[in-house]
Amino acid sequence: MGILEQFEQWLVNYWPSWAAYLVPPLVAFAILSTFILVVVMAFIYIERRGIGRFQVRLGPNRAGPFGVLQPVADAIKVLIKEDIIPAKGDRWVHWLAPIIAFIPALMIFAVIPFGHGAIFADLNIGILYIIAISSLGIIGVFMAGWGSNNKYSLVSAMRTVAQMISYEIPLVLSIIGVLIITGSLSMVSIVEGQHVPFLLLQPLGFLIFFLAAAAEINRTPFDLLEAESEIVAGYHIEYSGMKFGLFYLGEYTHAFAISAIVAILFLGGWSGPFLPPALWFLIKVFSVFIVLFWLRSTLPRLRVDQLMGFAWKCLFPLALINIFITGIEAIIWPNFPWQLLILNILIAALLIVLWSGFFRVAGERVSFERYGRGIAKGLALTFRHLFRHPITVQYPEQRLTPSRRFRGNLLVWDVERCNGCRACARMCPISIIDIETARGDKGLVVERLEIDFGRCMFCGLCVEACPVEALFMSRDYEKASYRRELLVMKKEQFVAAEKRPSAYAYPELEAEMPPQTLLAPPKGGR
Amino acid sequence: MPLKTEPVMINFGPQHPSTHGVFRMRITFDGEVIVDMEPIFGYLHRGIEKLAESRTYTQNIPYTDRLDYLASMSNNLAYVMAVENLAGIAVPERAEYLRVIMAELMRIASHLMAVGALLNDMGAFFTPFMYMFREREKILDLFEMVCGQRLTYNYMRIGGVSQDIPEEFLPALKRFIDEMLGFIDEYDQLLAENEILLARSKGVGILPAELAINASVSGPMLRASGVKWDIRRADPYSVYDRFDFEIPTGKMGDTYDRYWVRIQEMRQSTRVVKQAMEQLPQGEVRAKVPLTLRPPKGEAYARIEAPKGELGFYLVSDDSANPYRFKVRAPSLINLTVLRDLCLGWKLADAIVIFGSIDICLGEVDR
Repeated sequence: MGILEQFEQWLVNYWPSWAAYLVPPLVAFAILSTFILVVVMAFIYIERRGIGRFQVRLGPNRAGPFGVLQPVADAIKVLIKEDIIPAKGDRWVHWLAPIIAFIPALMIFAVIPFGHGAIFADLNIGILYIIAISSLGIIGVFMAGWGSNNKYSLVSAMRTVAQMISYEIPLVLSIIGVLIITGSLSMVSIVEGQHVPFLLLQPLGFLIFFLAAAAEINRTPFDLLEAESEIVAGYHIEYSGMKFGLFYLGEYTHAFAISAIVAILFLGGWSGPFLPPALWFLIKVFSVFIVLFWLRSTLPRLRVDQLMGFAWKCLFPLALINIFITGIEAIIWPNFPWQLLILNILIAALLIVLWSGFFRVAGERVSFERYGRGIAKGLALTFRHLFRHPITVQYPEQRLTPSRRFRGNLLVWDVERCNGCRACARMCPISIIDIETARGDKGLVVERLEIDFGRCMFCGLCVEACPVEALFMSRDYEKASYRRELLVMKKEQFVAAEKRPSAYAYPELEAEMPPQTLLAPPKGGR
Repeated sequence: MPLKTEPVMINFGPQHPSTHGVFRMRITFDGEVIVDMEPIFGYLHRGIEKLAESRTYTQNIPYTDRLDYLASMSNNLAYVMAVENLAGIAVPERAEYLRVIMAELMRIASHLMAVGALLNDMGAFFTPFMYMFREREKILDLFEMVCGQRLTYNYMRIGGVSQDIPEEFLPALKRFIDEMLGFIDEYDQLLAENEILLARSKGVGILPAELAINASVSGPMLRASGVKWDIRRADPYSVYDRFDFEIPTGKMGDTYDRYWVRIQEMRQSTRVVKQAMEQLPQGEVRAKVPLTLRPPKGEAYARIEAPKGELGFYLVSDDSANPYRFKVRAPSLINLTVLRDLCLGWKLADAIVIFGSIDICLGEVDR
């Protein structure tokens, strides 16, 4: 008996029976959805930080300690943004789409067991329910594509429908192997029936399910409907504010759900030694998700015809063969002893190698050795980068020393040496040096000097043109203002400014300057 | 009832993440297949050729930085060579070698960008892009050390280079070159054997050698089509005849070959830099040339093998301090003219990849 039923039984002693049956599901739903949102936030955080490290970046680390509040900050931003509906879009369809896309992802969790009895509703058709519900979200995506009245969105919607229909079939077929072994559709019995994780007993089924599921939740290399480099953002290009937020949330909730299903069907769900069941479950879910974004950070995207070909020519027949083999095994060894896993892994490997030989890319026969190794090498490379030091820096706190010859802003002007010859003003390619001179006691005296740093391009020609060594570039590299006028430096400001001349055009100044920060300093020090 | 489909026109750009700047394509496609395409450019037109006519020869050098802003050193080099031809100025030996080192480093940096962005166009989520940027960053560090700027170098001068390299430059360069080959091998692992990359690029957007020559395509794009034409060899300038390097050529002229040629060229560039470092002579780096130069009446053309192709500057002097005519033969623009021929019949996603493989810089296309 589940926790929910126990709660109901207990409550019925004190409350009227209708309330006792109505309140516990509501309470459970509130707890469950809060929990889901927290996990989704953790997903978003882990993915952004993780991809950052794969890409030798720091990743978001400003909001809260280690940036853990970044998803919260994003949520606040999304909430207060303006909601825009395209003028010629279909208002209602546009409005409904994000809701329809988000709700089914949430509904999947009704049958996900988090531990012994920790399940909202242990339906005896659990996995069938999941398959039925998770396909509903596609309608939301299609509605978004249609309702936005945008061609990019429409292309995306078209791709969505094609992709989802294609990948739904291998997805469902790959589960059947698991169902044959357990003989039940209920999620709880599937977990309880796993004496060995089905990952080992059904390796082929697992691979097919994992790839089809990655396509189902639009993760790279199957993220064609968002395809940032082609159709920009696809179906949600016209969405802003919380509606976009719902799509984003829906995507990650779906990713959570799919990871959870993988964990339940193939990794043994909550079962595991020593640790509490719920913790085991979460560990498995997060591992699946980490693999998903590891793939995302390594692989490029498939083209639409290749995507379809992959589903129909590769996943679909292999899924059928998998059912066939599992069926035969069910007749010969009805108890599925664990020794069977050796046979199954061998069969899976053999099938993949043989099957890949049927395909041709640009006239060349695909060989498994090449593509399997190629992708594995790529994954290994990105994995190694996880442990390399990020190359980005925390800017305002951590500053790099510029080159000694840095051509920075705020020219350093030596008023003593300047004789007002105007060579700099003549040399300036964009004529931003304004200099007026008057005749003084000892020759010319500069009366007015104005340089517009809003337009200066720091080419350094003025410094080179100066015949009396009165003008230097500076090593400062920060200058900002809200008003253009403030960027115009006047004579008095030049005189008063802190003087940090750079060695540009004056190499003899280099000796006393600190060395430049290099990403790859020469070996054995400077 | 037979199903009927209707071609749809989609406007790509000028603001689009994969157009590498402000480029616009009007693509008409049927389903996902491109039936027509019209490239439109001019969104970044700044009139540099006209601006140059009212500036002195030296003042124009910073303007050339802003043509192909991913390969400023090469632009500088081509321009100052044109002015030197015009005025008949001899360049000191050391300056020539420094120019070669800078131009080859610039080629590596530009190819890194091209390949990284191409992979991004294919849908890799910024990872190759970031790795490329990391390597490019090391080159920018070197450039900053030499000339004080990271993007718009303004380093070459008429008759040499603006200043000699600092003493820490050569050790840093040596380390970079030593590590670069290893990096290219490593990077090859991530991508060159990746089935998805091969499937996306092999046989896609084939540019036949004949069309390439007729369209006067140059640079890695031409070599990918199997034509062995490199100005460093065909019409050696500076001191390129003293170095030993190979000219990689592709076989089919497809997107993969264009990618592959760039990778190989980076290897060859490291070889050239290594040799130039070994042969680097001592001496002056700048001939005595006044900052305001008045070349005699006449005209001159200088061309170099820039990272993107043949970059030429045509200058006409009327005996004044400003050029009478300043014309840029921009490889990006001319390579882009075959875009329509390459894309027709391919899918939407291929168009983006083909466009990325041409490797243009809008600053140079529109000028």
